[in-house]
Amino acid sequence: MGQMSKVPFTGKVFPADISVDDDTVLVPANTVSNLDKVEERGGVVKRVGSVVTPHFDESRTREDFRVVKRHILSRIDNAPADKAKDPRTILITSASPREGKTTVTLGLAMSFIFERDYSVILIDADMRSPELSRRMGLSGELGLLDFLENEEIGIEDIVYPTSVKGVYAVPAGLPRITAPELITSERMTQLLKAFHDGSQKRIVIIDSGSVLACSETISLAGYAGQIMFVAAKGQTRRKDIDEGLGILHRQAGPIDESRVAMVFNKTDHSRSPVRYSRNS
Amino acid sequence: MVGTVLSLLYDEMVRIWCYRWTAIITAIVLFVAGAAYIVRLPDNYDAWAQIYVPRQTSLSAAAANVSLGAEYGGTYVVQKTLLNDQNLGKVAEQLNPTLSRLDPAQRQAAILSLRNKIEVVPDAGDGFTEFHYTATNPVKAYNVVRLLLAQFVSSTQDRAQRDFSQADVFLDSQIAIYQRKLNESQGKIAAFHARYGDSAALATDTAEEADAANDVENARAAYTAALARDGGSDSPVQGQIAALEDRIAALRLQYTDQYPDVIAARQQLTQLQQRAASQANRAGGNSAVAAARGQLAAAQARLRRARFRPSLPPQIAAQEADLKRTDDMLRNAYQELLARREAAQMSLAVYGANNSAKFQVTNQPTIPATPSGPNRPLLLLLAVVAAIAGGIGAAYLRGAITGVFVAPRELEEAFQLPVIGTISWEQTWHTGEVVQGSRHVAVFVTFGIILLVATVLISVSTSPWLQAIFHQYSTTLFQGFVK
Repeated sequence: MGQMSKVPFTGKVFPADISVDDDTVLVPANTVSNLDKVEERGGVVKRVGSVVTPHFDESRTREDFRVVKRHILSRIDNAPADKAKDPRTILITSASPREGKTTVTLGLAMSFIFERDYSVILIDADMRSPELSRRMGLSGELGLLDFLENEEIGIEDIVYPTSVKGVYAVPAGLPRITAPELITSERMTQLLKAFHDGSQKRIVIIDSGSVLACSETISLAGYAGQIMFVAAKGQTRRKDIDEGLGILHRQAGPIDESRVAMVFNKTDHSRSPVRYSRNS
Repeated sequence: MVGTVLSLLYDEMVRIWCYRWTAIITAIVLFVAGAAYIVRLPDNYDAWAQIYVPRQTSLSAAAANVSLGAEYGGTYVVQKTLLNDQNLGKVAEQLNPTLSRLDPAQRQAAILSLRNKIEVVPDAGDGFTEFHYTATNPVKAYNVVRLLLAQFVSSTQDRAQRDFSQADVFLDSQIAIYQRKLNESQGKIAAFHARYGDSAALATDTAEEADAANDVENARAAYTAALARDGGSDSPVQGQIAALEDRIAALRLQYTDQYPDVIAARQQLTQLQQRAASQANRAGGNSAVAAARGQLAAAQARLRRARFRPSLPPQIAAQEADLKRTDDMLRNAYQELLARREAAQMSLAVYGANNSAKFQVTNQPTIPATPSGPNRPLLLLLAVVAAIAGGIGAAYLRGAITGVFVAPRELEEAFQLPVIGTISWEQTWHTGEVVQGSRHVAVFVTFGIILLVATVLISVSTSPWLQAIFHQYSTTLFQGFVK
């Protein structure tokens, strides 16, 4: 990473950050979302990603996600200051494909609708099947891999506003065979750093591929302070989870309770610990 | 506790539900295989015969009050006497003439298979017994039952003859023994009497004694009357003599003449009599009184004679009683044996002199025209149940082997990591790629096929007309499958 000094962006991605450098008025990051302004960058109205939530029992599922969200936020609040990995970077993964990683990502994003203080950046890092980009209508747009490879592309070029206020999306970008290597590059570290700098209340949720299928996921796990391991009811096999957790443990730091949590997905209503009536 | 168990049970059901397709496919495969097998099963024909064996026989009459073990003519006895190796061997040889040339092991195997297939059924009625033989070939079934019946008839005749002669010999021998014993006993009693006197004659003494006592009373009354007529009053001596004589008589009932009281009483009596004689002499020789006294003396002498007992020692008397008792017992037993032989002769007369009317064949075997089995509808129903059970078992097995999670608790226990949330997932919550409708169609079609196959098979198996057609087809269709 000898070209570190040549990296064009300096962590000052958003107008508020730039204004800090110019010694102008410091706008508290949590009063006005700086990310809101990306859509007006360069006078070009960017495409807006839409957080498409599936049809579901609104109140119940909202509560389910609220519970997960509360856990995540409390982990962020309770994390020790000197923690090596930033707990605001959350990796969502699973052992095998089709266990509901993207759905959980989108559901979590939806549950941040009512969070006035927090903003969320969703990163689609599932390079094999960029489901998040597709569902948000951001397929084919400039994305993570483009940014990591092309130093001329700025952060603001790959961050898209969404239909939900306070939620931003980073699509996967054009598929490349060098994706695993790009993910481990210094530029990725700097990107995450830039997202977190300037605001304590900015959460990055990375929707990754399954552990057993995509090697990028293991690299991404190295950045993440929290790992949500999704397991689907009646679908995920014990040996797959064993294997996936084993790989993460060996290659992306220790897997312990403070860092990894599991989300049990695809349960039916009757067994959900959250019980609200359909019409509440 | 119950809640935990129920929850675990529910988890297992959910796990099975996760593999419902495995269950359905396994069930279909099992059912089709089972149904094919059941439809291909050959028809069974049941040939049977019924016999009636009366329980009362000459032997049982002879051995009244004597336990014979199993009831004669009962199903158990019929089964044991009919289904012995010898009888079955004969039947098997008649069915298969080459059997006698086979080695003993094969012969034994043939007999065993025959025995296992013969069913002896007791009828509800008294003494009726049925035996059945089921085979795919009706003629063979008929032949087996026919031969068995013939075997039974001949063997039972032999047995009845043997039984009766046994009973006869038994009774005769017993009677002879008792007769000999009785003779011995009579001989012993005679020897005893020769030695110790005729106790039979003594036995009549009591009557004579009473008679003599009576005479004494009469003579005394006459004597008293004569004395009264004579004018002399009866001296108190005469009353004392009478009282003393009575006392001696009473004592002699219990004691011998050597007993001191008896000796003393006799001496007293002698003295009193002497005094009475001297008084009488003094009173004068009234001839009537003298005659009356002479009569009284004669009667008293006769009474004394009658009261005489041969003084036998007690152990000899006991011996005599013993001999008499043994004799009585032997005599009774002998009488009873004679009565029994008489009863046996009577029952022989009733049940036939040649002993052949001891049983009756109440149902002659025939060649069965309609098959008695197998019960295909029932078997198909069982096949359905077994197929469903097999399917569920397969799903459970697959779930257990693969190890999927159906409850957050399981996940937590398995990896010791917190499960921070459960996301409920509805059927309507689909993401677009999976066409949910096609699954419902698949379920519908599958169950439709199962129902159709089941209906066809059951209707085929119940209707003989369809069965005939189907059998023709299935024979060619499943030829390779079954062979």
